[in-house]
Amino acid sequence: MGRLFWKFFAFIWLAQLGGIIAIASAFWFNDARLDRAPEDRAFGVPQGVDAPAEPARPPGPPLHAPPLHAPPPQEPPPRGPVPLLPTLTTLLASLATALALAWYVAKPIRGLRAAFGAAAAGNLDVRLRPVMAGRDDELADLGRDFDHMADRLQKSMNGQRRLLHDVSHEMRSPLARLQAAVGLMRQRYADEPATSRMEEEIVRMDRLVGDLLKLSRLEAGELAGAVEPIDMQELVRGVVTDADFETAASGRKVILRQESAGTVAGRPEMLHGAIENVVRNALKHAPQTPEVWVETAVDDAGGRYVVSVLDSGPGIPEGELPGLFTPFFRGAGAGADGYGLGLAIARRSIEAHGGSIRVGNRAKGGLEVTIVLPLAEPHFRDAGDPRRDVLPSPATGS
Amino acid sequence: MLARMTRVLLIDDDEKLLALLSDYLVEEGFSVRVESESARGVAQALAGDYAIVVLDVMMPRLNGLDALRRIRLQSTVPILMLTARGDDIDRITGLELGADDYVAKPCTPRELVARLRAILRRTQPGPEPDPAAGMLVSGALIMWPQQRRAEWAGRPVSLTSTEFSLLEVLLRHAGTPVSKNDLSERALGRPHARHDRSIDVHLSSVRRKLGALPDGRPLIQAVHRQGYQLLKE
Repeated sequence: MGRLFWKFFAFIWLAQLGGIIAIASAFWFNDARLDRAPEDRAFGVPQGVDAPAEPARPPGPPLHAPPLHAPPPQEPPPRGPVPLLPTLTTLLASLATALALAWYVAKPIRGLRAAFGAAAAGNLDVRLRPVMAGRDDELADLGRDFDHMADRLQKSMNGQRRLLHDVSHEMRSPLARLQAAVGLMRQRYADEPATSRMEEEIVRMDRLVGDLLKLSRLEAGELAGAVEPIDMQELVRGVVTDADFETAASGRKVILRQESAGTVAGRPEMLHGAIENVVRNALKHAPQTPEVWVETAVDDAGGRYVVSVLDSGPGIPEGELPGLFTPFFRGAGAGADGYGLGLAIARRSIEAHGGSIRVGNRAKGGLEVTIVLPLAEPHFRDAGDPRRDVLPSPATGS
Repeated sequence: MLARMTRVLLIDDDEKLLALLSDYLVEEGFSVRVESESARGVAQALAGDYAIVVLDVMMPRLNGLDALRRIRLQSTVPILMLTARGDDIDRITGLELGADDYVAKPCTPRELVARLRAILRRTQPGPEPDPAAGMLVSGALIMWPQQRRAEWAGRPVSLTSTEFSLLEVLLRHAGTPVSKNDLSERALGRPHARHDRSIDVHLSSVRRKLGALPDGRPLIQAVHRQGYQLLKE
């Protein structure tokens, strides 16, 4: 229950208690007055005039009534104890109605809040219509407005995504023709250096189109391939070996500083690509740094596998850090190419595996990207292995 | 050297691309026929005497994968498919349906020719006699590499050229594991790429076509982190 609920509850209950106390005390004083009335009679007022004498009494509030009377000359008859049972019932009844009322008002607001939270987190599938069914007030209107907004946003986002996907897809055909034409040119004028430049640019464009398609698929939630247990140590080693091999020509190194074994349930190609993108990004945007380090660790208590990619480059201004994961982000530190799509794809891929990716500047300078993935459940690690008829390798088998 | 020019059939819905590729392949010494309509392409592949068929799997109407299935129902002609880069599902489905290999599109024509030649090299035996030729036997499996013929327990087995080459490599090393990289180099004519499932898909298809060993185990086994092994009885 949220704070709003407790506030409503407190106000409603206090109001009810106030009302009850006021009414109860009114009765109390009234009773007190009636208790004294027979005493008056006892003091010799004639029986017959009793009734007409009553209305003559001033109708003022009971608080002022007692002083009007003369103090009773005798001990007043003992007042009964506070009636326990009725008091308790009243209290409980007021508590229950206050809770129900507070719940009635606070519940749609909680629903609204949850819906807005989901929308802000990117889930536009939430609708309030079922939650608000049967209500007809301003809160229900607010819910309808939310549904309307979510509909519109969803349509426009889907449209944008489809457009991106279609444009990228359609670019493939002319690219393929261009590539064939350049191939023909190359066949005829083999030593023309411009043709290899053209080929290079076509390959780059093709890669970009491929990345765009990949990102739009990821954003639409289309995931290719089957989920299987992934040996993360092996996967990270593969990424590091490849990246180190490719970067060796420029005299730089990618080093696996620390490693741990762990199994993650996922799509190996996607995770491989994501980690590779992060390592490539470090190599590209810290060109002076001689080494890029990769570290893996297992957080057994939290059931998480952590991959960190660190460099000793210039780092990135704090304000630009969150922008790194948006497509084609251009910060002050980025070169002419910007950051491209690599980190955006990496983030989507990691998130599709239920993980998270963070970036921050290191205390000693340089950038640190941390990927956190949930470890696979133990039963998945053993039973879920698709290679059921695998022979043990001679090295590890008994 | 070749008695006649190698006949290639190109099936793709993009006519302009077909014209360009055809020019390129002719220049490289192939004899080329193009089809931009997949149904006609299938008929042509089944009727004509082609050394290899290049098939785009992303085609309208008769989908390229359906075309592939139809060709494979009647013929083991080598098929190289063109797939969209990054589209793993098409690629794996295609290999499962019996394509010999794939090239991601767009590709440079040079890549295409290299891949074509790699497949042709193993399907068309070279002029000099293979020293290791002759019959290969392991248990119920018999292979005649020169005739590209295989038998399992006395029954002929119909294998695509890639499946045949993979099985041949495993048979030559029966009883020992062969790494995926070696298999890729020797049977596909290219190095093994990380996460490339081609070999797994081809071999699982081979496994389906062959029976099991007397003790019920499949003849071909994956060896963890090592590759594949043909079990000796």
